[in-house]
Order: sequence, then C-alpha cells, then structure tokens
Amino acid sequence: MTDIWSFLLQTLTVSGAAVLLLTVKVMFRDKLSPRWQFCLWSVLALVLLAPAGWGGRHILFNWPQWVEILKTLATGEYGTLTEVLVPIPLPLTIPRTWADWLFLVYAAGVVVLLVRYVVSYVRLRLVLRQGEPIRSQQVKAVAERYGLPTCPVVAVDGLPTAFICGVFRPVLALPAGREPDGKVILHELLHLRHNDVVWGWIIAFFRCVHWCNPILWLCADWAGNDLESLCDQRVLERLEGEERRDYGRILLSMADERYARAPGTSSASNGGENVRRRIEAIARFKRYPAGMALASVCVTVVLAVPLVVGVRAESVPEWRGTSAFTMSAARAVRCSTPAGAIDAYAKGILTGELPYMAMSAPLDRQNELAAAYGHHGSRRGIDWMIEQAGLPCRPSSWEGYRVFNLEKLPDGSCEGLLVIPLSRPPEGRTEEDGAVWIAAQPIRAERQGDRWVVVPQGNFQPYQDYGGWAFVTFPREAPIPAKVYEARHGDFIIRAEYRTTTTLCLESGSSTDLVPIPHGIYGQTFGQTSEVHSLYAVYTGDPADKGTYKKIAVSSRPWDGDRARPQLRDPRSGTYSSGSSSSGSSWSSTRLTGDWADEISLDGGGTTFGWERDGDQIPDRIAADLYLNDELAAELTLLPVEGGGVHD
Amino acid sequence: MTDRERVYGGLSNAAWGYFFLHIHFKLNTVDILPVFVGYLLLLSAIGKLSGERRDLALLRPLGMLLAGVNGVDWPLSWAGADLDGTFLPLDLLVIAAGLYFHFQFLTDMAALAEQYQPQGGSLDRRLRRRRTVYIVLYTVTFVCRYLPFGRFQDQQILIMMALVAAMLVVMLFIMAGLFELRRCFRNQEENQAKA
Repeated sequence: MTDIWSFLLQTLTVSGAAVLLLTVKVMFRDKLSPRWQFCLWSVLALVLLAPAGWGGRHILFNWPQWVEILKTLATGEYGTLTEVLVPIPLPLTIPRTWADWLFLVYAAGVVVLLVRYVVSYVRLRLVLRQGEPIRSQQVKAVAERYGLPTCPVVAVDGLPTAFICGVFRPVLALPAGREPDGKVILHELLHLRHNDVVWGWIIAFFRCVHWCNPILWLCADWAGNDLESLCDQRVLERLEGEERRDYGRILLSMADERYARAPGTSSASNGGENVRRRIEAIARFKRYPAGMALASVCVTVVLAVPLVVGVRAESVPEWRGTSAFTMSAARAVRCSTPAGAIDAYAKGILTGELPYMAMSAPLDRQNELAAAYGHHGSRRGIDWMIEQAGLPCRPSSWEGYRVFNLEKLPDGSCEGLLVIPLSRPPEGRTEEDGAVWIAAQPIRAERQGDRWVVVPQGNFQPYQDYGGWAFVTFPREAPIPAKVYEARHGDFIIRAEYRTTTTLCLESGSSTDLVPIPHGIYGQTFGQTSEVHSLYAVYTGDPADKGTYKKIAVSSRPWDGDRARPQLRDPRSGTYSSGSSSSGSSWSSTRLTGDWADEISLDGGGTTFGWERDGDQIPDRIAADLYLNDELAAELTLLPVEGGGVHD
Repeated sequence: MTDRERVYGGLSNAAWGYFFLHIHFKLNTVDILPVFVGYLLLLSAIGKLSGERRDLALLRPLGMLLAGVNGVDWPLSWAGADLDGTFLPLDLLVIAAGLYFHFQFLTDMAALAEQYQPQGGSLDRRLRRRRTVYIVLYTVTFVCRYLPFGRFQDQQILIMMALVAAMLVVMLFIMAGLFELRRCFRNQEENQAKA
C-alpha cells in the first residue's frame, strides 16, 4: 500500500470479507465446533495477505470501482489506477497532496501501535525476568499426565493468572504464592504445544496495519477469543465428567478478573465478556453434532475460494452518470487479455461509448476521454472520434468489426489493422454499386501494468471495397496491407503475401454483442480467423535470358518457431499442378511461354484457423521449394522483408 | 396424531421435500414444483422428527433462511429474474447454509435408518455414502464456478454439466433411500403390530 487509496481499497476489501465471515460464524455458532470457528479466521488471514484488486479481481463487491470513483471525486484525477502491491503500508513518496499527508498519518499510526505493542511485550519480559524461576511439581505432573511439552516456569508477584509468554523462548508465568489449578496449567500447556502465541502476534500485527478499521478490531477480538475457546475445547477433550464442570467453574471465577493482555502472550483469563462467551461454548461442547468434519471443510472451501480468488468486473456498469462516476468505473474495469482490449476499443468505436474506450485506453489518455465524456455525454462519443481519431463518418455498428493481420510480437503485444464498415461514404466521396466503404486503423494491443490497452498507431483511413463486408478478401490491387515474405534464388525472387482476417463473434442485429468482453479469449471474442496467401515469382535477370526458363513451380508451407523444416509437396507429382490444403500448404506450377511478364502469379491458398494461440496466426517464416524446368532448384526460406512488419 | 404417525409423516415430508428440491417442471418460466416448497416440507419434517433426533432442531433457522430465499426467488422467476448471482454475499451464505443443512439432515436420516431398518440392513450406510458424495459434488460444482479457467472455459462448462448431472443422479438415489426409509419404518410398525 503506497497511498491512501490503496490502503482504502485493501481495508474495504478485507472489511467486506470480515462482515461475511462474522455473519457465517453467527449462523454456525451452535452448529460447528470452536476448532472450525477459529480455522475460519485463516480465510480472513488469506484475504488480509492478498493484495486487494490483484489481477483486476475484486472480492464480494466491486471495491476497486468505488475507490476509483471516490479518488476522482476527491482529486479530479483520472489518469491513475489504484494498485496494492503489498498489503502493508510503504510510504515511498514525499507527501505533496492532502491525500499523501493522510497516508503518512495512517502509516505513522501503524508504526506507533506496533512500537506500543513491542514495548509492552519487552516490559512484560523484563517483569518476568525479575520473577523467581521455579520447578513446579504441578506443571511437571500435568505435562506428564497429558503428554505435553513444558517450558521454564517463573513465579511473579501480582499476576492475576497464569499465562505463556514468548514464541522462541516461551515462559510459563504463574502468580507468586498461589499455584493455579491443574486445569489452568493444562490450558496454558496446550497453548504452548500449539504455538498459539504466534497467532496472537499475527492478530496484533493486522490490528496495527488496519488500526483505523473498527470492523477488523472486532474481528481481532473475536479471533483472540476463538483461540481461547479452541484451547478450552482441547482441554475438555482431555477431561472427564466432574473435571469438565470444574473447568467451567474455574473459568466462571475468572470472569471478573483484570484483563491486561499483551501481544505475545496467551492466557486462560481474557476478560469477563469473553469468558462468558467461552462458557457458553463449553456448555455446547457435547451438543455440537458429531461427524461434521466433512461439512466443516466443505463450508470453509465454498467460502474461501470466492473470498481469495475473487471475481473480475465483466464490463462497465450500465448506468451512466457524471464523468467522475462513469469514466472512473470504466477505468477500473481492466482488460485482462489482448482480445479483450481490442474488443473494448473496437466496440467503443462502433457504439460511440466513451466508457468502452476508457476500459481499453492507456492511463495517460484517461483525462482526455473523461473531458470528452463531459463535453459530449454518454452516447455521443462518436462525434469526438470523428473529430479526434479521424473516423471518416459514423460506422455501421451492427455489422461488427474485423482485425486484419493480427500478429503477436516478440514482446507479447499484438498488432493488427482494425477495420470497421462505414454507414455511408465519407464526406466528398460517392457511393458506387456493389461497393462498401470501410475504415481501417492500425492498432497495437499492449500490456501496461496488469491491464491490456490499445494504442492506435495512426488515424482511420477510408477504403472502398467491392467484395462487400461479408466477403472482404482484399484482392492484391486493394491497398490493404499484407505481410510480405521473400527469398532470392538466381534470377528469381519468390514472394509470399500473407493476410489474415479475424472476425468478431456477432449475432446479426444483437445489441448485447456490442458490449465489450474485457476478459475475452480469442475463441470467445472472435468467431474465426481466415488466412489468404498469394505466391509470386519475380524475374530479376537479364530479359535476354528469359528463354532458358520453360516452367516454374513453387511449393510452400508456413514454418513456425523451432520446428524442423516442414515436408513440402512435390508440385510435379499428382493430378493437379496447383492447389492448397488446410495445413497452409500450397503448390503451383506455370509454363513460361512467349514473352512472359516479370511478375508471375503462382496462385496461393487459404484456410480457416482454430484458436490455438492468441493473435499468433501470422507465420514466422515460410518454407518454399523452387522448381525450374521441372528440376528442384532450391530449398528456400522466405523471411519477412526488412522490418518484418506489415507492408503496403 | 400418534408418535408413530408423526414420525411417518416426517419421513414422508423429508422424501417429498427432496423431490421438490431437485425435480422441476416449468410452465414457461414458472416452476410448478418450486424449491421453497421443498424446504417447507423439510422444515415440517424437522418439526416432526426432532423428537427422534435432537440435532435436527439446529437446522430450523438454516431451513427458514433457505425457504425464505427460495420463496423470494420464485415470484422473481415469473418475470425471468433470478436471485442467484445477483448478490454474491447472499449466494455464499445460502450455499454454506445449504451445505450444512443437507449434510446434517441426511446424517440424521441415516441415523434414523439405523434405527428402523431390518436387522443387518444397509440403508444407513448407503444414505451416508450418498450424502458424502452429494456434499462433495455440491462443493466442487460451486468452487468450479469461481476458479479462473481462462481459455479453458468450454471445458469448465463441460465439467460443470457433468458435475450437475452426477449430483442429480446421486440425489435420485438419496430420494429413493428416503422413500425406502419410510417403507422400513412402516414395515417395522406392522411387524410390531403383528407381534
């Protein structure tokens, strides 16, 4: 926790879980044993230890969203996102704002309370050092009878009751002059055996970290008392008949004793109200239904998993309010996948919903988007996109969007060309029969912190396509980019052009499909990816030598990663001299007759991919065998041409 | 009503209660075998059988909570709404209460089976075994909803469908066991009358 907002997020998250656990404990107070009652606090301990909001997840309530709203209302700032790195305060910056000073006050409170606990513990140890070490026969007898470990015993004047003090060098402190009942000794030795003093320190630590949260102080009190109840249960399990009643009577006699417990100690006497609750628990000892271990474990598991794992915000809330509410809530929805970020960005463009854009925008653009929202309102963000992002005109949103040449880069980010259909021709352009107007924008999805964002790599450009939106295949003449791979052999350059089309899953006319899926994986968000590739041979030799070449054939196949070079089909064999397969292979041969052109089209192929890897459908390289005059001339490796990127 | 009639009525309500909890016929969105009726029958069974098994009385507040939540859910379902999933803390309370309720209730039914089954019978053991399987499936199914499966969401759906189907099968066996328990009780009563 490095600022007051991250502390707020952490303490609110823990408080929600604490209230639920307190309710569950009340519900099962007379049904499940003190052992379970204490073990349930381990679920809260896990929530306390886990940084709130990790992985864009929240517990029970969308606390991150409300903290962002509160922060924006208080500071007017949109460009930051609250993060909890560790669940303890770390004041790393010099205070500049009132929020920084408030955090410093909180951190100082933690230190003061910690110091107070440590000082009180040290003072207690000093008092015990002044006590008289004794060899208590009663302690020895109790330990031998019940097979329990012992520790040094000291008798100290003025102690109200016996207690164990210390973790590494524990001491059993007894009131000087009056040796306690053997059952009280048994209680303390059981604390010793189970290292309960450690729990006391853990509780005290979290009490310090959340010193200004009364709910957690209440939980700390309950947890301390549950620890004593658990120890009571262990005592009762070792006692029989009248001894159990005696133990109850001893506890009753402690109800009015002074209670000055220090951290690092455990004592049977822990205050009148707590002793009363423990006596009630003892009265229920024989009434807890037997054989409930499985039910106890199952109840703990169903509470622990949602409280520890949490859930992710699925989208921005449907309500629309002021910028502070709406855009802060949107910023808090973290896109957890590249597909999710691209989807949120594209649907923001399609619908004009600026909150969708905020989900996928880098933090340094949040203030700009919030200002646009304040100016244009909820659903008129499209005007801002036309003004600012060069969108030629309104999109035809119900047709969805496509991403071309979506490619995963070595640093994990993805690049591609976002294409949306336009509702009409751009300003000053005409509509032609059979043509559709589309707008394309190069985009890059990258990880920033624990959220994926989309960074536009340029403005939208309008294009006219005659294939229609449903069959946009972009013939070579169209200025839609392709990834180009080349290799040279002798007088020929073999070139492959590669395009993929990633299509959004969209039921025609369904408005719900235009709500972003920030955690969408490729197969969910996108229906399919189609690839189309074309092969060419370019003659670069002396025109006078063209006559030496009578026939050219090329067989190719994508070649990914560290795999061995794929086996390629021999284009000279088989019935067909050209063709392609679903594996991405293609082969083609052409007779070179007459005055053939320098650029020779060798056909190509196409297929539809499954979803094996996110945004990684573009091959690293292409293996190609070149045949000239029916002889294998070269085994080539076609590499992305210089820059390795997308080329016009 | 005699004690015998009361116990017989309690066992009948228990068996029919589970029938209402797990068998559903829907007319459009309206369930004509609503879940809350099942819990009301189980509450009635608890009232009638708590003289036989003291622990059953502990289940009354949980039963009322479960009947109440499902009672609110039923009219909501007419409008196509569903309480489940709308407020996670309530979901968790209901799930925890349900787990404990069914485990304890079936444990007590198994104890009654031990009492009423013919000598050498195995109904009590079978009921306990089915209870254990049911509770484990119930827990795993719920936990599966919250575990992040990431790109394996299709597999998550398949696993959950399989778990729900297995739970339904186990519950059918539990219902059969509860009707068998009622039959055991009636047979014991007839045998005692003959004797």
